[in-house]
Amino acid sequence: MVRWGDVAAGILVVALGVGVCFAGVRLTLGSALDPQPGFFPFIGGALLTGLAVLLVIQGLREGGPPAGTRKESLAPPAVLVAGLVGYAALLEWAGYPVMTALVALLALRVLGTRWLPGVIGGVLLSVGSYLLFVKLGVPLPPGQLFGG
Amino acid sequence: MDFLSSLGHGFAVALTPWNLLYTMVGAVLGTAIGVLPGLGAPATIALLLPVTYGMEPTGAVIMLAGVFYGAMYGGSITSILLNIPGEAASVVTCLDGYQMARQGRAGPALGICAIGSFIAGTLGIVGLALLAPLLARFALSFGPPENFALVILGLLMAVCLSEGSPLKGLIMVVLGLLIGMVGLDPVQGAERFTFGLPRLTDGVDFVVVTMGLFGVAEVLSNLAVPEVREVFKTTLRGLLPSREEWRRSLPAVGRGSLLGFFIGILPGGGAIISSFIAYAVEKRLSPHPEKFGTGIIEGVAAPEAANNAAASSSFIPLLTLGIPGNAAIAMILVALMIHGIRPGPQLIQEHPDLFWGTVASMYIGNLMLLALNLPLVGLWVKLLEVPYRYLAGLVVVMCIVGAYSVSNTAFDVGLMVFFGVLGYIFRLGGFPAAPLVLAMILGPRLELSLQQSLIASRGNPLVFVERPIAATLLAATTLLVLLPAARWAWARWCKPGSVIDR
Repeated sequence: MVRWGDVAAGILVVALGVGVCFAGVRLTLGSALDPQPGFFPFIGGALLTGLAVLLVIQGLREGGPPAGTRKESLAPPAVLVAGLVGYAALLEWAGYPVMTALVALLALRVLGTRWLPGVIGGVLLSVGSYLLFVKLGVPLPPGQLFGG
Repeated sequence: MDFLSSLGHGFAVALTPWNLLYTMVGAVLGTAIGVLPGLGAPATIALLLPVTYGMEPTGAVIMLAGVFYGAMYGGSITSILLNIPGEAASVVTCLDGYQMARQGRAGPALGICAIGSFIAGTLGIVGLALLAPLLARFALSFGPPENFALVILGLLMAVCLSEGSPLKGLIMVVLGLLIGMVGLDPVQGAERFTFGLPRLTDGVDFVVVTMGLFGVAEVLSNLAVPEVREVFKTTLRGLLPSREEWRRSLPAVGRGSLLGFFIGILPGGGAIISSFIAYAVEKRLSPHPEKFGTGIIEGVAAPEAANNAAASSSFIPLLTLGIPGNAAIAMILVALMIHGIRPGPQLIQEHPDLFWGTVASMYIGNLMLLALNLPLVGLWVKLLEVPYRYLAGLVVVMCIVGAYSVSNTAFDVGLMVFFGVLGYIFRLGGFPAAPLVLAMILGPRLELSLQQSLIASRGNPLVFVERPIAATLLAATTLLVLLPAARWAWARWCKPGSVIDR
């Protein structure tokens, strides 16, 4: 049985390694006596390519259980990731308290909390952590939305 | 004696009210996250980094160290009562601990965990206090070639001893090295892998990567599988083991401590692997190995002792060589660097308060943990009844704050989410995350020492072989690579049999 997950991962990493090698060459390699900025990345890229080729070969030849055997449903993580991306994009505009309450609500909802405890939990987490960290001297953005 | 006066000084530092408070906070938090499955020590220490910005470096390290060894105590509670490891280092404790709980002996199992952990942790600290200054003095003579060899050896060890395929571990090391290269190169200051993004010229911050790989990825992978958690209902009466159980478990604690201590010193060693080996050794030495797995007290005592001794001794490579052995220790290294302290052979001399204060706080912390875990064990069991979703919400919020506070930009929050997704994919594919973090932290040092060595020797690669210490370290590295290959060949051509049956 072929481990397709490993093969696919290996091919991706080979591509990455080759790309790193090219980037190393463009940064100029120099030589062992006079190493330039591209020297070390080039070695890294070459190593990465070699190891990934081995992973592909191993995945094609050796059997055994595939890497991911758990039954995963990808929808809940995807929803949370989308929420977090939105969070990063809007954080400086809408401010920490608002966005954190929203993303905490999202996380709690995705994990199966009801609406009311979700809203209460989200607001508590957001306001509580905001006050705590601002008091500890960690500046969090209040947001431009409210003229902050 | 010099040693005793240093230790006395350490206690004077550790016994100040603030440092006592930090020890307490660390121990309590550590036990809590140890008890809770789904939140490990590396992520917690990373989450606490922003809290330490305003603290004295000594207080910060005292607290973070407390989280690390406290987690070793807490993890066993969940293993025994739930048959789920609260901490990765308590996986083997499930085998006999849960069986003991099913036979109504949960009390003694928890008791021997706490007592064994205390004995082992304390012995480990004595070893740390004795060995670290000697090793640091020895390492003072290290130049760039030795540093280079040391980092290579450390990274390879981390791969060999981490779980999963060594090949995948190696890939993660190289990926970590490459991520560590993002930003300006250490010699000439040229921009590398910044993709034209000005935010990346300072490099990718470790805190951001760790929050993503250990915090966000953990939540994501817990989202993908439904939660199953059932606390074993048992009356917790009589935490003290019987006379017979004492007689059987004390030698196991001794052996576990010793094994754990020495395995913990190795880079990549740490608590997880030492608990596995201690269990295997105990089983082999036992007159009745067939009883292991049926609820035998040695099977609980030895691994729990080992992981605590390893937790203490894994501070040795960090505080003497500046090489973190596992991801949690790596986060403590980051905390030191945030406070402008570069761990290495000079650390003990330049910052005696920090070193001896931390060592003394670990004695005190272990004492606190014994008190926290023996009479108050019922409290921690209650903690297990808090649904995971509230914890997950808290973790997400803490990750966000941590990433944002690195340089007060939303960009870092986005980067953390990126690494969170990456970390989730790594988990799905069975790629271990710890080697990547270690390599990322050690990468700049590796590159600098390689370049310095080559420049000083005028490009002569023999510089690594002509210096005895560097040559020895590299020989050990070569052996490390060749040994598994030889074993693989052996297993292939001779009769296949497992070396350590887990």
